[in-house]
Amino acid sequence: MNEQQIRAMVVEALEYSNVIALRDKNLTGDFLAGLNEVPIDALDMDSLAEMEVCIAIEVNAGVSILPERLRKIGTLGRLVALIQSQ
Amino acid sequence: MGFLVRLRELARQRPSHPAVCDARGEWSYAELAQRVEAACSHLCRQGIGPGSVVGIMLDDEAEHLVATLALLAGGARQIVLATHDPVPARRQLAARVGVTHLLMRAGAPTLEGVARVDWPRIGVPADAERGTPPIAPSAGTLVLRTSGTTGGINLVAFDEAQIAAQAERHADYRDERLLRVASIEHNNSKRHRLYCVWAGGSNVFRPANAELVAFALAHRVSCLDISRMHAADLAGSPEAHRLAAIKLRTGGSAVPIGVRRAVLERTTRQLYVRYAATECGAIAMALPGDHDADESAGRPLPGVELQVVGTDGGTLPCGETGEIRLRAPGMATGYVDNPLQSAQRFRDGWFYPGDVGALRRDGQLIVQGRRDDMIVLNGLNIFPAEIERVLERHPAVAEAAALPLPSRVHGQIPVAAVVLRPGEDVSASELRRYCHQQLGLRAPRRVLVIERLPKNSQGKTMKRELVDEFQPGAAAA
Repeated sequence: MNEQQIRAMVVEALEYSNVIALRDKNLTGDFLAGLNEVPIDALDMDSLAEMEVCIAIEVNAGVSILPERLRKIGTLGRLVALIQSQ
Repeated sequence: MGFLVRLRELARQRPSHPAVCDARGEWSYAELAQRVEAACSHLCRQGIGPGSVVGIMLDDEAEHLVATLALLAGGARQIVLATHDPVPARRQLAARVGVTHLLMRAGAPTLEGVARVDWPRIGVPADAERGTPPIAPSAGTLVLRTSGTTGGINLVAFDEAQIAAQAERHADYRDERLLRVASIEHNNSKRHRLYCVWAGGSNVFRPANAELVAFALAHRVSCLDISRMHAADLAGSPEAHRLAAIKLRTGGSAVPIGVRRAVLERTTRQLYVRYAATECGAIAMALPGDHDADESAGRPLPGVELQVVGTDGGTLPCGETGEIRLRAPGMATGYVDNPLQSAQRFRDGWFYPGDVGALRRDGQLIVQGRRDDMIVLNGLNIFPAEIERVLERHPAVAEAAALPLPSRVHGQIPVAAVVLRPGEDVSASELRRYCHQQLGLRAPRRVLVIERLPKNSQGKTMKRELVDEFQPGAAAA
């Protein structure tokens, strides 16, 4: 997967997990274009959403991330870089 | 009572009733009994009897039936070495059961190292030649293969009394003209052919190249038994409505409501869906009025005691999902050469087919899938059948297969592959969202649209072959 595909996959995973902060704050377009950093804490994810995002990343990109580690990654941009590096 | 005694009884009770019908004509019960007696004498002269293990390699269905009945009467052990199987597979199976004789058409290629007995075309013997063969002191035995979709192929052995006990659940064959699309070389077909004989019904055999609808009508077939795959194909045929007067029976794997509705609307209102296992025969049957969104397997057949039990072995109340167990007349008590599997599947007089399901308050059995197929996602139990059922209800989906992807973090992740109906166009993401709406946490996390599902010779989907399709980077439609 290239960076663009990974970003699209992350957006779809967030939408699927009912995490609407990205859309609510009008950040989806900028994130897809790689124009800004979005702190994961700002997404207001509960533990179920964190799990769903990790499942989506694993099943689509083959990268395993523990749900409890997701926040520690810091930003969606770093998450994308992590997936790309694996 | 064995099959030869039963045949003689039928020959007295309904001597001119058709027993066997094929493109060459019909044999009455009197003729079938004479042919079987002649064949039994022939085999006896070849030294085949109790202690013999006979591999049958006959693709002529009527002759195969006569050979089967003659071997049962003669007290031999028999197994089908199907002519459609590759020679190495036949050789391996013959060695596994210790085949001593091969029964085959003269001139057919043999398996080296085993005595061959050429099978003559058995006619009705003239009076002078007709002798009454002795009935063997020990019962003949039928060795059958399980389908092997969830592991290695197991073998079960049934003596005549067990087959007869299973046949009692099919007494309604007495007034039927039964056509099964699968050849008698398939063990389920073979068994139903014997049940039909036991009931005194008419076995109709179709040449492989004969068009199904025309043949069934020409030979006045009243009961057609076909796989789910064939049932779906037939319902899509413009000829399907011509079989409106026929009883259509299917089973062998879960039959989705979409297929059932297609059959009911386009082929016949008389649809029967059977739930069965090689180890015990038919277990339950959904009757024409039983087909609803739960995709019921029907009520357990007379004589079958069926329970749904929890992990502690205790019976569960109606509506709760657990493991299915049963006992039934004529059931096997273990596998031929697999004590480990025998101990797992046959416990305390019960047979555990390895399926999970629930009994509804109205007594209908809902089979939810294989216990071994259960997907455990972060401790949540998900059955592939519930995902497949939802996907196959989508108007664009023809067929679906759900399976687990192993995960170090989550245990297993449910995913699904679907085949779309011709002309339909729906995205994988849309199908995934549709599943999410219907199933919530139990939804597949990835859906692939593919051109066709890999199937084995019995039409069952080989899910293990689908796993590679889900690897990141694998091409998908």
